[in-house]
Order: sequence, then C-alpha cells, then structure tokens
Amino acid sequence: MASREADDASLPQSDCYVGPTHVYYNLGPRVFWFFSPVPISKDDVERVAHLARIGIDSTEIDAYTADLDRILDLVEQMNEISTQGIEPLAHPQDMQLRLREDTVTESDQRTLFQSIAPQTDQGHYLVPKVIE
Amino acid sequence: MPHRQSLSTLGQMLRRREIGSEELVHHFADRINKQQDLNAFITVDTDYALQQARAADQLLAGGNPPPLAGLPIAHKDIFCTQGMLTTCGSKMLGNFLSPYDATVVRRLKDAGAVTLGKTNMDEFAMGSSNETSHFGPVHNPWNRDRVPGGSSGGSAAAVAARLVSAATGTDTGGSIRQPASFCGLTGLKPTYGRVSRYGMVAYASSLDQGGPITQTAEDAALLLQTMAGFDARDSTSLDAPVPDYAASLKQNIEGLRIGLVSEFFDPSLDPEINAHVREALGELEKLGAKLIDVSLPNSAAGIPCYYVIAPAEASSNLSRFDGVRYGHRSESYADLQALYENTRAEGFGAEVKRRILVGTYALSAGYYEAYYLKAQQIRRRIADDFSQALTECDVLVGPTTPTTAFLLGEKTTDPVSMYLDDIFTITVNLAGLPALSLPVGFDPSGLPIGMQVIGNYLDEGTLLAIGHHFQEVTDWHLHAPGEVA
Repeated sequence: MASREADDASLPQSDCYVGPTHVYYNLGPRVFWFFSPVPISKDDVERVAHLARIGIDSTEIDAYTADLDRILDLVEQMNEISTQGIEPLAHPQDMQLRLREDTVTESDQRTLFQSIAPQTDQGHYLVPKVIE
Repeated sequence: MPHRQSLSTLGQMLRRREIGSEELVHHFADRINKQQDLNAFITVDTDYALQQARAADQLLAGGNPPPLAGLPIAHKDIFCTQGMLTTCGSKMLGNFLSPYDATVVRRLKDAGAVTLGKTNMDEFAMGSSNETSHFGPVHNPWNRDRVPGGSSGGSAAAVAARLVSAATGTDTGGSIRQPASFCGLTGLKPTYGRVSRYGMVAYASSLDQGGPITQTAEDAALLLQTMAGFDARDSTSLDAPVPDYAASLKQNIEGLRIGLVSEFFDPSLDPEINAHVREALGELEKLGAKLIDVSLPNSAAGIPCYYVIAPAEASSNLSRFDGVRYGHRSESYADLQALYENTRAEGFGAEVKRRILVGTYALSAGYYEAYYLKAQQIRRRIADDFSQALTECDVLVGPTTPTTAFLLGEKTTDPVSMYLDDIFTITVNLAGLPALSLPVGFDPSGLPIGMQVIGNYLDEGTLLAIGHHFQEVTDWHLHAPGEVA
C-alpha cells in the first residue's frame, strides 16, 4: 500500500471517500488511498471511449472491458513498491525545456499542408456544421 | 554476392568503385521482390531509389563523397519521408504523404544513403511481434512460422534476410533490441535525446528513441554517426557533442567492469538463453573485461510502470488523428462528434484502441495520482537503480529477451502475455539509457539469441566497442538464414 500527502484540493474533505477505483481516507493532514478491488465496468469503458472519441460497437464492449481489466490488474502491481517522498520523473534526464528567441522561423506552407487534408475550402479545413 | 556484405564493407566497395550504387539497388530490389512473402516492406520505390543511386554514383565518381554515399537502407515506416507514404502500420495513415522529411531521414539522405523503401511495423509501434500492423504480420526469416519481434519487425526481417544491408528502427520499450535479438542482428537504442524525434510519429514521447538495426556493431556506429546530434526541432534533443564512433569501436575494453544484473539471470530464465549469454560473457572476460554482480531491485515494476506511462502519453499523442487535417476520414457521420468517433473507430486497430483507452482512463479525473503520478515515481526509482548500479560498473548485461522468437498467433489472444515479453528491455527506456543487443548464439531449433548491453548516458561508444571487439572474436553476427546463401 502506498500513500502520499493530500495536495489535491479537489479531494472531498469527509473522512472517507469511495472513488471509482480507490478508497480515500482523510487522516488529518494526509490522505491515504489504495486500489479498491472493484474491476473496471462496461460503463467505465464507455465513458473512457467517449473521452477518447473512439466509437466502440456494443458487440465489442465486453472484450475491451475484459482486456482493460487484465491490463489494469498488471498495472496495479505498482502498489508493491513504496513511492513515499519520491519525486516523479517526467524526463529521463530531468532536462529543462529550451527557450528560443521569439522570432518567426517557419514559412507559410498552408497550401502544402492542406494538400493532404480530407476536405478543405478556400484555405480552411472543413468539418460538419457545429453551430446552427 | 553483395548482400552477404556488411554495410561498412559495401561502403568501402563503393568507394573503391568495385560496385556501383545503381547495381546495388537493382540487386536488393530483386531480393525484396523475390521474398515478398516475408511482408517486411510496406512501400518499395525502386525508381526513386535508382534516381538517388545514380546521383550517389556521380558523387562517388567525383571524389570526396559523403560518408554513406550510395548505400541502400530502409526506414521503419514511422519516419516521415517526403514523396513516399508514411503509414506507421496503420489504416489511419494509410494514405499519408508527409509534407516533410524526419530529421533522421534528411540526415541520412544528406550523407548519401539511398532509401529503398519503408518497412512494416506494429501499428503506431504498439506491439512486440509485428502482428498489430494493418498491413499484416511480418514473418521471421529464420523460421517463417515465427514472429520477427516488434515493433520494428519489418526492419529486422529485412536486414536478417539481407533484403537491405541496414535499416532504421525506433525503440519505446524494446522495439529495436527485441526484433534484433529475434532475427540475429545488432540493434542499438541510443540515449533518450541522442537521435532527433522530429518527424518520427510519436507513440510515447518521453520514451521513444530512433536507432539503427544492422548486421554488425561497426555498421551501427557508421549509421549512428549520421543519425545522432542536436536538433533544434526536437525540444528534448540533447545538445551534446557527438563522438567519433569509428574511433570508439577501437576503444580498449580491458579492465572494463561488466555488471551482471541478478534480476535478469533469475533461476526461471530459459537455460539455453542463459548458457549462450554466459558463454558470450566468457568471451568478453577473455578480452580483459571484469564481471561483477549487480542488482536492479525495482526491475519487476518496469512493465506495470510502462503500461501506465506509455498509454497515457499515447492517448495524448494520438488525439491528433481526428480526420480533419490528414489521414483517414470516415465517410459516415452526422456531426463533428460522430466524425471523430467513426474516423478513430475505423482508423485504429484493436491494440492501439486498448492503449488509448488505458491511457485515457489513467489520466482521467480521480485516477491521475494513483496511476500516472505513481508510475512517474516508480520511474525515478528505476532510474535511480541504474544510476547506483552504474557507479559499481561501466555497463550492465543480461539477455535481451526471456524467450527466442515465438510463434505467429501465440500471444495475440492475450495482450498482457505479449507485454511480459519486454521485461528486460523496458526499464532501459524508463531510465533513458542507451543499450545494444548483440547476437550470441542459437537455440536448439536454430532461432537466434540476443544479449543486451546497457551503458551510461551518452556512452554509446563503449557499447559499440564491446560489440565490435566481441564480433571480432565470434561469428554469430555472420550467420544468416538459409535463403541468404
């Protein structure tokens, strides 16, 4: 079981909050969480597929739910390792992003770039009408 | 026959005018044509290659030609090439003609290399067997019932069958080293940031790194020399000098401390693989290297950690495929939402969808800390393990893979069983270190075995020296599948 300090103001301030996959315990200045054994549901998969804008056929939902459940089981082995007080690593060499002069370095290549677009008109990319 | 020669040897032959680039292109194009059953290539453009070859022959005739003048190579179909399709193994990019060259492609072209074609790969580099490609699986030239490894499976199969002398690949969790190992080749994954990612279709941006798949360490040095170096167009490119890798090959390895990673030589390791890797280590000892035992205690967490970070980054990177600016667009939609959903449902294969869904889940509200943040913390522990081990020794070794090439279809029904195959390679990407896979023998059924050598940041030179010295006293790298003779 791993724990970390509550630095997320969005966490509810009650003593115990049951999230979709975690149970949070608010013990004074620290919030402890652990993975709940609740498997991922079809609703979760539908919700995530919507967030990712991937249409999933109703006949495929069960298979994706089972696959994601197995993958998340694998991922939960992370909890065997304590990470208390460990700084997250985002880049292998902890490098800082470079800054450059704020000057124009690219030329206008709109025609070239739009030549491979599915649908354009007068320099614009075309999509279905969004506002009536 | 020219295809039996290494890239370096062909380079010398071209310079001595014993052979012409145009002749080489005809020869390799003919071989590609005769072995189409391998499915190693997605695109071959002989006319374009011949055009480049004729230009190279003129440079070679004129004296002072660029370093790779006239040498035919192939690019993994993840590298953007102007004027040649870049599909990334996906229906989503099945019609994609990049308006620009990737930095790797441009540099190799400027150095005189001739692009024969684009090699098959797992869709968006997500896979370890080349079976997720929209363009069908690639067969291993050593045994056509088996996978070539992945995701750079087409590059490895093409070089192993000598359809081309060398090819580029990319490695996010082992995608250069594992196929190199399965196909009896030398595969180098450079330090993260050593080779520009500009124009390399992104899978997991903090892990992806391009590198060469070749017959020898000498060939890997030759290609890396041109591929490596700072690129202002890649925000994570390292601004560090590029050493003379040809000189690195000759670097003395006497007294070099080689760390045997105890977790990689677990008692459950396949005995044949164990025996061949240890035999190879014996050769390195004879060359003056010292063997010591080291530990990477958090290695087992590598796979779970990777399967949060890589899908999370993929879910973000692949959001660009929306059917609006380039690539596939669905023909059936009533509104914008349906346009996105149908385009992505039709354009992506099952494994890509699984990873996007896992990544989206891990990053969604309420889960971020438990998954992504936790994974990044474990990533630091894994990187710290390597840093600690590399104070005790100069390089680390172990087998590249837990098994030799598995059967086509063997692991496709269970995605997790496929993921576990990357156990020895994946932590190297999390730490961002360079690593080299070398052929060190064959199992009883004649399938190649690979040994992985992991080095310190930007120390590709030492890895290449070890590979080169080893290949001077052994001949595993000279073995080729039956059809090659």
